[in-house]
Amino acid sequence: MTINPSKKRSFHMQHAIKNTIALLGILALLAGCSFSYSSGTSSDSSKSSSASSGASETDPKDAKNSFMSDVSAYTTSAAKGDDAQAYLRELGSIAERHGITDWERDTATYNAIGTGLRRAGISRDNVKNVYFVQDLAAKEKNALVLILESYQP
Amino acid sequence: MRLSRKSAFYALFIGIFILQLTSLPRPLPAEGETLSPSPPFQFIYIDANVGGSSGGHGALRINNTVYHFQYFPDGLFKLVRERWPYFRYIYNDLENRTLYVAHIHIKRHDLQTLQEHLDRYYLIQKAHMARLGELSADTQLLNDLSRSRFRISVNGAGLFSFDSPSDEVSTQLRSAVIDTYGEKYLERAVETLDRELSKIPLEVPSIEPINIDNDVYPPPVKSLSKKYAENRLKRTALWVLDRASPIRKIELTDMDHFIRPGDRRGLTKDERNKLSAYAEALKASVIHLPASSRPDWGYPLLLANARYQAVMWSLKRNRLYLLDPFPEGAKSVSPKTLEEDPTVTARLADRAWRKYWDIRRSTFAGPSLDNRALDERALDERAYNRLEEGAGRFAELEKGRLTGNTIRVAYGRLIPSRSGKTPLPAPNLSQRAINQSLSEARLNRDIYNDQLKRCYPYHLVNNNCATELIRSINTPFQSRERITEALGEEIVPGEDFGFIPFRLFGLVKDRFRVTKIDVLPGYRKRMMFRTAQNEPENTGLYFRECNTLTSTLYPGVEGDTPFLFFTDDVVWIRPVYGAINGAYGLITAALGIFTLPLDGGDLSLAGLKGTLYSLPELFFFNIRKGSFNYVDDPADSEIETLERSAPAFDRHVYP
Repeated sequence: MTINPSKKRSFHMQHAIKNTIALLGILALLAGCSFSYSSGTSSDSSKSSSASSGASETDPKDAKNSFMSDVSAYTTSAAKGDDAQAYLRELGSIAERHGITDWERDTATYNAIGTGLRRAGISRDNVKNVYFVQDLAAKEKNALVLILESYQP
Repeated sequence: MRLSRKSAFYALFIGIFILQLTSLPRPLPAEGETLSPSPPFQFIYIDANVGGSSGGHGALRINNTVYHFQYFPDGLFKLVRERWPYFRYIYNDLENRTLYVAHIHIKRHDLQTLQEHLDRYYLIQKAHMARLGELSADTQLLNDLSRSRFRISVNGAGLFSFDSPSDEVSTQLRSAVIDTYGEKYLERAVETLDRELSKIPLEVPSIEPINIDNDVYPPPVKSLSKKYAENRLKRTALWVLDRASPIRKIELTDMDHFIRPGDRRGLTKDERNKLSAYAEALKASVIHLPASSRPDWGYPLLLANARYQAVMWSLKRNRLYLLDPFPEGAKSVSPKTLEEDPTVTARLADRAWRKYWDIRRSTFAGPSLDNRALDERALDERAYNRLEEGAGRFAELEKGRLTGNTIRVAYGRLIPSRSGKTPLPAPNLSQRAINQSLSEARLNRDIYNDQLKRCYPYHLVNNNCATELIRSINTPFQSRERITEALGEEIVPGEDFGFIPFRLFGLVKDRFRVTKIDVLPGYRKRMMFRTAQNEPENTGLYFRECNTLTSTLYPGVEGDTPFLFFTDDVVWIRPVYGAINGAYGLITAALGIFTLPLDGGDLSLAGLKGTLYSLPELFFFNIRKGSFNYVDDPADSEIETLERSAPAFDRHVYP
């Protein structure tokens, strides 16, 4: 029986590729990515990683920007929802991860909410109709004004 | 020519070695130490070390934030977000790994799109973990009820003393609330909350069969424990106000107890003024929160009350008193561990002392003439919490330094939150019904956990730190054209061996618009270079530092595995060093047989691991570099202010 030389070459090539892939696999097995050694459960990990961010920010401006960035990102995601209590509860969790428990008295919160709504495509005129804005404005008279500050050109 | 497996094996290792040599820039210490101001977007390749990252690692840096993926013991592969100085301290200094930083040109709005995507992914992931936490808490609550333990733990309740009589400050606060809402307000509000609790059905709705998606913000889960905890938190907060309960003095740290020679005692005029103004703000919070439309005002109210009392106590005694910010779950470092290297505790305490005073000075800095700045300099919760955390960490380390007693360390932001148990009424349900709810709660938790594992999977080749990073870069741009426009040529996750981090770095270098590559050598190499510069006449430096026996830089860290020679800064002699390291590991393993009854085989296992990590060195590869638990690089201002006590004693909790 004769074997076509090109098929033989192809066979050896495939064999070599298979070997290479297998060996790379072994190498990767040795390797892998960074593993966290946290001994906690999922929920524990989530708790510790709030800061997960390893260490808390040492620069107050960094800390404020990071807080505002998270509030904006969340607000953009939740702008089209309908459960105001769920929104406020989630906002509380995010703020607490940044060391803010009474976020209603922090003007940065409202500015960040405004940025989030603007990024979600909510027009300036429609801000007051967003499902959670009424709840915010009910107790904090400046809430709407502060939210709309983010709409200023 | 037939390619034998053996020759393929050698060819592969040598090939990869050559690839590594050609594709990665060599460490240039001088360059690494004098980094020019960074453009905002960088891809970072972190070379290997022993432990979980022997294949290297990849990360993205946007402005001052680093994003990377890690595999957690709970089986989830999660996005981690950290500040750059902290990331660098952990990987470049403690882990002693060289960072290769590729600066990538990208338009500002494209970078914003990418960062928004990563932040959103991170928040969604956090929300998923929080939902799982709520379902786990349901199980805990029902388990307690089924065992007739009618109580629930609430954050902040442990800050107050319920046995002590009210004092002047707590009474003033009660009066302020009553003046606003009326004499019977608190009592009635507590009764209302009790009635609301009795209406919460003690049943667990089956979890809806939803597909968890890491791109969609998860809807809230119907958590029984959440409703209970929210209700009880509010009730506890109002009850504490109504009884005018004082804070537990054990929760207060008197910072005058920790003054060092030259430190001033007491409060300055500026400090008193700012604390007085902040006390008014806290009182306003206490009055405002019970009427808030947010459903979770219980804990903020408890904390505002406790902080108000702490501030008033400070003003009364003219000393700074702050609440203990450490969480209950903080790791306790035993005196035995502290004794192993007492200089570390002392240096950590010195560092924490400097930082505490820096924070205190900046927190209470005098007002500016500029009105806007005046507003920004008013003491707010963010600044006050920063002071609580800095002071708490310093006090803890100073106590450890002075007494040698256990110290607590904790990662992340610390907010005073001592929990306490609050009673629950006995449910009007049969034991069988409670047990049935408990079974459903367990099922819900397990289903959600399984869904999370499917949503955040880890796979050695298909879903690892390299593939997920590229996937995260590609996703927000949606199309190949947009990726090309934003970054350069597209990299498909995993293709062209891009699942290997150092290979991915090569692909990034070739395909993205890389403008510059910086090399940040690991800590040991940096120190070697600096010592060589400072001691040019010291010709024996290399011979002193090339091995673990005579090295003055490397203290030896448990977990690095036994070895003799460092092989990360040599090339041609690496196989020889590798052979010696391998033999050393085997000898250690053999000696471990004699210590088997004492250490349960730990020494033998460490020796065998040491030999395993020496094998690549025979083929010119290096994985092991040695690591550190604490380093202090006075020349590095970037990481000067970092908190270092948690990684010093608990480095592997959150690398």
